[in-house]
Amino acid sequence: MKIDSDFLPEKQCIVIDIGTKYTKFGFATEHSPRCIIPTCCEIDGTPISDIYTCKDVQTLTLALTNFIHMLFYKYALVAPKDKKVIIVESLLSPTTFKEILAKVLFITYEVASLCFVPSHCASLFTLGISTGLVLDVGYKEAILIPVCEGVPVLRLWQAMALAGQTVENQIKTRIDIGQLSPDESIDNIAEDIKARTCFVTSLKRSKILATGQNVEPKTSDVEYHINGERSITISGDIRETVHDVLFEENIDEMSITTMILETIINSNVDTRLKLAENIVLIGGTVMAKGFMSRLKEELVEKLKSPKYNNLKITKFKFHIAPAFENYIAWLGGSIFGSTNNLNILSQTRENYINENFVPDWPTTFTRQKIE
Amino acid sequence: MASYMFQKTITSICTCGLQKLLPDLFFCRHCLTLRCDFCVSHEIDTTYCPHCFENLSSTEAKHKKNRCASCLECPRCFNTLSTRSYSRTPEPKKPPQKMYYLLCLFCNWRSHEPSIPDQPTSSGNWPVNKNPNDGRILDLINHYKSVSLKEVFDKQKRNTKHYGRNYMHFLEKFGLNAMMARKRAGLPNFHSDGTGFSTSEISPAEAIENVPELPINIFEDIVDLKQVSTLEQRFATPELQAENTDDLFPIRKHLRVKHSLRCRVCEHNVVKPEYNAVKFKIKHLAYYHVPEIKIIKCEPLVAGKWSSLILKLCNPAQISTAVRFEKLDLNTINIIREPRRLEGEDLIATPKQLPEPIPIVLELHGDIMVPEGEIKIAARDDTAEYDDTNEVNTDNDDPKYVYWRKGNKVALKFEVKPSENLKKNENLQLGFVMHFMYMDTMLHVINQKQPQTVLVPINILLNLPNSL
Ligand SMILES: Nc1ncnc2c1ncn2[C@@H]1O[C@H](COP(=O)(O)OP(=O)(O)O)[C@@H](O)[C@H]1O
Repeated sequence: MKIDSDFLPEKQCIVIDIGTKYTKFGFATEHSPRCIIPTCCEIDGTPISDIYTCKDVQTLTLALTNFIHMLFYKYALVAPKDKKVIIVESLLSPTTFKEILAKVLFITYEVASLCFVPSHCASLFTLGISTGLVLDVGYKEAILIPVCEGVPVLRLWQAMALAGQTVENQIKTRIDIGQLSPDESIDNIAEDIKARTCFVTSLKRSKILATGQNVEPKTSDVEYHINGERSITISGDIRETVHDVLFEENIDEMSITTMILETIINSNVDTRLKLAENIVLIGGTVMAKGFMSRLKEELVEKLKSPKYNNLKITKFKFHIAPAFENYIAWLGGSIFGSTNNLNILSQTRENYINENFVPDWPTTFTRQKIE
Repeated sequence: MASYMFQKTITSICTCGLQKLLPDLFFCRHCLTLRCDFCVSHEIDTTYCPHCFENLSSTEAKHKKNRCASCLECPRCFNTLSTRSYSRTPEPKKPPQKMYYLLCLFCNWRSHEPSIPDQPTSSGNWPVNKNPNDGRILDLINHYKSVSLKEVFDKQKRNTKHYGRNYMHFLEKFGLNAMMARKRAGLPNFHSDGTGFSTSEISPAEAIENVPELPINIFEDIVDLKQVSTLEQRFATPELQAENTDDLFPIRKHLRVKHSLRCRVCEHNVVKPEYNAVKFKIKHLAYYHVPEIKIIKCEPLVAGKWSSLILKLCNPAQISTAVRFEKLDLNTINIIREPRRLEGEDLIATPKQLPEPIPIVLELHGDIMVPEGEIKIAARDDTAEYDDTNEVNTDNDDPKYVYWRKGNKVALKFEVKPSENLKKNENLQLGFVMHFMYMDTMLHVINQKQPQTVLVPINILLNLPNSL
């Protein structure tokens, strides 16, 4: 007799969101990830700091094998064999990455089924809505994809290399960190400074500071200790303006602000208002203090420019999910994993071995339902 | 002592193609070949706490979310916390009461700094942090669950039309057990016609226009970095991510696992730990079977000139063995990999697809002359060290190749010639194949037979430091 999967405790489902900087990992139906760890691993003692930059298939396979091994045996403490796996991934992640990940999971680790869930769509599950303008600002890129009735509108995607890394590069150029000993990493220090001392200032103050004038009240400086020995001073101006780079327009007049407006202007007239009033911000960089209010100010300001003032929009509304922004996409995957749709939309190992191919899109087209 | 084992001067190429040190390799006694971490499958044997060493069953561990119930970790520096006590006299006439708190001996974090009250028992019912959004997320999960069930239901309804009202068929497809379980849980049953099927309604999230502004005091406030948690500290409890170090909670110690390793090809265990002990039931490490090679002397390397290299081989097995050497042929190195088996060993068909072997890409920087013929190495004998009379028969040895021998060790002469274009400070990479005689002494339950001996080839790489 068939036993319903809901009542079978062994059928655990693991949800992984492999970010460019941090990986979120946990079990489906749980309310927060078990761990958020840096996406890095070792191959024979050599650390690989960024799995996404591994270009050749061999290194990538080894790196992913080691990384998945670590996730399962150090954090999940379950053997991956015959488990269900959900990968929350960006729709723009490279196909080779996806293919190799599927191969590692299916062949090396023999998982029972695998489902790739687009992070932008999954994020909406945490809100209970089906239409929204989802902006993911992570470590490497800001990616914007509107989702209408649960379907991502790929025609309107926008991506720019404006995210946590850009801000950290600002810190590296604007603050003299000085000589570091070999066991310190400038990336870690820049990130630490960013997360612990910096915030996103308001548009008004940013404009004044950009002209070189002083603002009142002046932001206090911070003494930052490196390794408990040296101390450097981080000036108040830098603390509040390092994030401004995200809102500065490049030569094509593009910034995070205009990405949103361009998408709205290119979308269907009927959906414009709906998108503007359902903006969902996800990714770790949007957790910087003041990000959301600054983005709103920038959007309202930009709306006055001739290019956008025929948009019949007066206000922008933002969603606040019941989770921290850096794991919203993961939580969406977890909610998805608790439903029956998981069984319908996953690819099984048998199917993978027979077809030897990973569908671009979670479909039922080539598969049989998992029992 | 341990560090000499980690020098990558002499590596062996595992069957999967990775270069590994001998102590990192396993020897599958059924496939008769080397295996490494990468090409065995790992299984979880037992779960235990790395601090109190308590063993937990897998269901228990799952229930406790892979955390130890009694050991706590400092949220600031992640070392184990200790419990401290002090006496307190709540009222002047009553006897003093013992109170407990947690202290980190490394960074001096104390549990009563944040909002954790001291406890009257030493085991402490230290509060567990709760995700403030639990309720909402649960509603969302239930909503989406019922939506997807309804989809299935509607589909079933469409399908069943064609079959008429076949009650059994309907139940089978829908999952009889779901219904039974609902009944048991005291929930209302689904109506068989679907009319009463309601999805649990949730209110969709409302977007807000008045987004949270920066706090007014953020500009002037003096930032005390000791009070601001690092990302690592925040991520240790993803559901709280406290920004102020005072809001950090002690973390329950994460459990670890003991692995047992299984050869992917023949599915036999290569390593299996004993439950509840730091011992092993099965431990087929290559280190116990394959003669270990060490460099004992090497003449200065000169590009284009032969210099002699003396390697010591040590037989770790209790049975004498013999070795034969061959040059490494780069052209065939990737062709045959999966080796043969012992005669009479029941071949297990491998219906499953195995990970692809890793292509070996090598570059050799010179020529090597290996000893010819077969060289015997005596068995390991732990008493031999105390026995001076233990003479080894050296009559059959060719002095051209055998430098000396003693007990289960033999020193062999090799000649190496770095190629002309060897760059300065570049390690001289050379390789050879060592075939060693492996005697299979395992008891074969199915067909009793004599122990067999097999020659097992192993590709060895030398990485000689070169300071011309
Ligand atoms: N709580 C936080 N406060 C400030 N910045 C954060 C926080 N959490 C993450 N970040 C920043 O967000 C970036 C990572 O975001 P994430 O969404 O995890 O990226 P990805 O998914 O691309 O790995 C990093 O640059 C990190 O410094």
